Amino acid sequence: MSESYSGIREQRKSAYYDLGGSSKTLAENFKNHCIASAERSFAQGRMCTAINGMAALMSLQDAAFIMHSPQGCTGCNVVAEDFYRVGQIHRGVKKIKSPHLLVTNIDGKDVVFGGEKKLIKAIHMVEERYHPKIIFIFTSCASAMIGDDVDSIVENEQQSVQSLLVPVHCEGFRSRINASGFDFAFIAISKYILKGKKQPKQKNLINLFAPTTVSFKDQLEIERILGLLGIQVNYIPFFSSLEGIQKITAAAASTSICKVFADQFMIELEEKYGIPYSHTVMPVGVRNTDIWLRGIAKVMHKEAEVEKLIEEEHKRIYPIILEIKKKLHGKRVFVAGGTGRSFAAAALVDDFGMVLAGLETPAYDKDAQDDVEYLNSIHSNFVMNIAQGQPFELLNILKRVKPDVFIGSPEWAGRLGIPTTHILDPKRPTMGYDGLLYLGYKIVEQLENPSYIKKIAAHAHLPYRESWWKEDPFKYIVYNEEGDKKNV
Amino acid sequence: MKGSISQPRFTCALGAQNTVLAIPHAIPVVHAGPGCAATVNTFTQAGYQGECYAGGNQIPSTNTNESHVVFGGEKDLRSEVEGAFKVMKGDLFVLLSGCTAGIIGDNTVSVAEEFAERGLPVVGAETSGFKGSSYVGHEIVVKAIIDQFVGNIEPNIEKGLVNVFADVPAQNPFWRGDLQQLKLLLEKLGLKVNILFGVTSTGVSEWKNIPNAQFNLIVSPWVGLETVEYLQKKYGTPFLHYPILPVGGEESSKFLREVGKFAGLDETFVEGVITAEEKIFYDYFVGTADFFATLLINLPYELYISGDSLTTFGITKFLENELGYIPRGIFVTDNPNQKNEEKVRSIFEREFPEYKDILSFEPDSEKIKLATEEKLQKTGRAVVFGSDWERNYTKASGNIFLYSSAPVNQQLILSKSYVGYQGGLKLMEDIYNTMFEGKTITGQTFQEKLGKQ
Repeated sequence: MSESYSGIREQRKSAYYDLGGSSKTLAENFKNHCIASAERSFAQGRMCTAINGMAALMSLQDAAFIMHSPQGCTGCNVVAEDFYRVGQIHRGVKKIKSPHLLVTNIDGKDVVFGGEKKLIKAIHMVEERYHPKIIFIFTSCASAMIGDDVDSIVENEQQSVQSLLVPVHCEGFRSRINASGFDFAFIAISKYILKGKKQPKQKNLINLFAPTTVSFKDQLEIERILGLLGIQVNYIPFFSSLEGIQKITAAAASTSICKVFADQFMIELEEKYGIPYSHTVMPVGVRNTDIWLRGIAKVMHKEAEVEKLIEEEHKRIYPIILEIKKKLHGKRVFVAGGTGRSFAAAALVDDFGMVLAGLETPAYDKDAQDDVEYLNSIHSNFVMNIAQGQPFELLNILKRVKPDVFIGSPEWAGRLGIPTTHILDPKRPTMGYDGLLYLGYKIVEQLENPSYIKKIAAHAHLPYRESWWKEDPFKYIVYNEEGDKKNV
Repeated sequence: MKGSISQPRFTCALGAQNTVLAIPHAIPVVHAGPGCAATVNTFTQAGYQGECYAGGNQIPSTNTNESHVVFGGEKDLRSEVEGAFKVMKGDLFVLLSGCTAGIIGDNTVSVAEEFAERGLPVVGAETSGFKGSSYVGHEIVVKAIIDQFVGNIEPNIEKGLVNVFADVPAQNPFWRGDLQQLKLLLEKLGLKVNILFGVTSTGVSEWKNIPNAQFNLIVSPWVGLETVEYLQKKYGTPFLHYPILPVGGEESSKFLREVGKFAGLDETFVEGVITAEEKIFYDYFVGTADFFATLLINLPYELYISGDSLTTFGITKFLENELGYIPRGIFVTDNPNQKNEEKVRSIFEREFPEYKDILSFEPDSEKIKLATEEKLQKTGRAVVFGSDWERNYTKASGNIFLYSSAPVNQQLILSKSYVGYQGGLKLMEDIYNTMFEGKTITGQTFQEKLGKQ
């Protein structure tokens, strides 16, 4: 993440967010640098960068949060509260806390006269109420458009406030790619907490960047595996603390559980602090967990140990997988999910002997190209939809593809009567060698008695015209002129 | 709107997307930042109510980007609506503006008009988040639909037809069940009910029929009052303002009696309905006498409640008036503006003259915690109604917790309602059954609790 990196993912080179077609065509076009940038002329609601920015930081201990926005922008905090509560229960916390989040409640008057006074008041209120070590201040569409100068307020108020003030610029209109919100959070951490200061390295310490959506069971599984290699983990930023963040620059290497999480930040850590990183895949399924571990081995110089571990884990896990494989072999599956998880799930399809029929994922970039080339080598041509949300396209595709199993967000495919398994489960395991088993059993359970999902399909009314099912699902993706092709 | 809030019970004016979704086969088109529709949807999923017909991630949205902010976004909104008509199947499309559109000055109402002139069912409403709470947004949208979709027509009064304005959909986690039960109650009087929202509504045909009602019924201390006043002005429809949610025997009977009188129904007929309903209700009610006598020393008798004024007053009325509870803390969280706050207070004082000092208006649940947690730790015989924000510390204090308000993440709510005679009985079951679950009052006697202090 160089000084010039804005965090806005649309500005990255060779990254596409509005795209559709067959996997072989997309891979071929990407290779030949001939994908045009596009926009949807009709779209359904996407996600807000503020959701990701807040989710990344919300569970930090000793932290408090101010959302400088109208009331509604914190709507997602009811989910954050739920994740945080369950996260604490899983971690054995006795006295369950709520996240300390205050919303300044920008109203009609503030839109005319500015909301800076409200923010200043909120900063002092939060310090007085919670005495946090650190206060994150999130901006919003409204605060930015009315011109509130949050950076200057932070600079001024920091003189009289003990808590460290950190502004995070995550106004939704800056980017339609909600993963940009992760980058906005790391840009703020880098600028206001790490500040370029170096410290002595700890030989066996690795930064493990993980978003909120990684369950505690998954954290334990990953830490178990890395513990077997003698690696100490600085698990960041979920349930971490200011000390944990400050320790980032003491690590010998970095890696991430999710591909779109901290990817640019790890580049910056290498450039500024000489910390090498491993950026491979999400550790879901046997193949991906192997790749992920080998990536870490390389930067931690543990190649021999990792190969031994992989061999032992394979011996342990394959007989159990075989049981699941007997039941799932040959089933056609459609996968939809976030960037990391969708490709990870697509890869585990192979573990269970299933056939990949289609894939929906939010971005097509160099990383995606590597995955698609691999998937193309083991599956025949499958359909790809590069979309964030957009169930109208997905449902249109599913009606054509008619998969036996759907892995992804349940409500859409469920309405078509397709047995569905959720892969984004922040409370239950999905990762590592053992997480794979949970996923496998969940799919098997769905197929054993699908009567519930069949009943849903029989009575669900979809809000789409009959004529839409006959249209090209990618009809509303409008490509720019030939001359506007992005420089791949 | 008051100042900062840390643990909110409602969302912003764009919460009105749920008002649209609550009308069967109506579709909101959100002209706002990417994620506004999803964020509002997240908050309004209290009790896992599901996304209605076209909600959740299916809501069409312009997903405002930087170029809209600089150059305006009306052009993209038009393209969005054109697409929505080709792809989606709906009886009514309501264009809603978010903060970005509101600040740029994009006019959703005039864009909607362009489509309406082509004979398409399109309505526009200015619901930027900074305009206020979900309650404010709800009234803006209801008025916009009446003005732009129902329109200026000459009423053709149908005797016995009543429009009901009772609830803010999704905001109240029990809204579906509540509206269904209110409709059932009113149908007992032989009335034809335009319930307008939810599972028992027939959709836009009910809305088209609004001007023809004999009268409007508003069941709420304040939300909807502006709407019925407006309808009186526009179509000359009289309205009955019934401020308390009817829960249990006495209040349900009073409700039927007042509605019957306002509707000009035969008094003997109405009293006949009430007698029959009360017979059943009080048969069950009296049947609990043994249970009460046996477990009296362990039964809760103190009441703490927080939530929308509508639900809060309704539950309090039944518990105070029929079950012998002592209200200890009443917190109204729906943040009415100053004018309405006076109105809500005067209703409370009229209904509960002995307890007028314990009413607070508090939209921030963290402050409710500060006001109640310590007291709860000193008692073991309270029942606390509230949201997820109150659940943890209430349960930790060994008292009974029940949901009455959003957010709700730890219960699936389908047709559940405390409205009417049946609702009162359901409420009794909920309170006293919770006693037998886990470490609540039965696991820790009154004396043990006192000994702990």
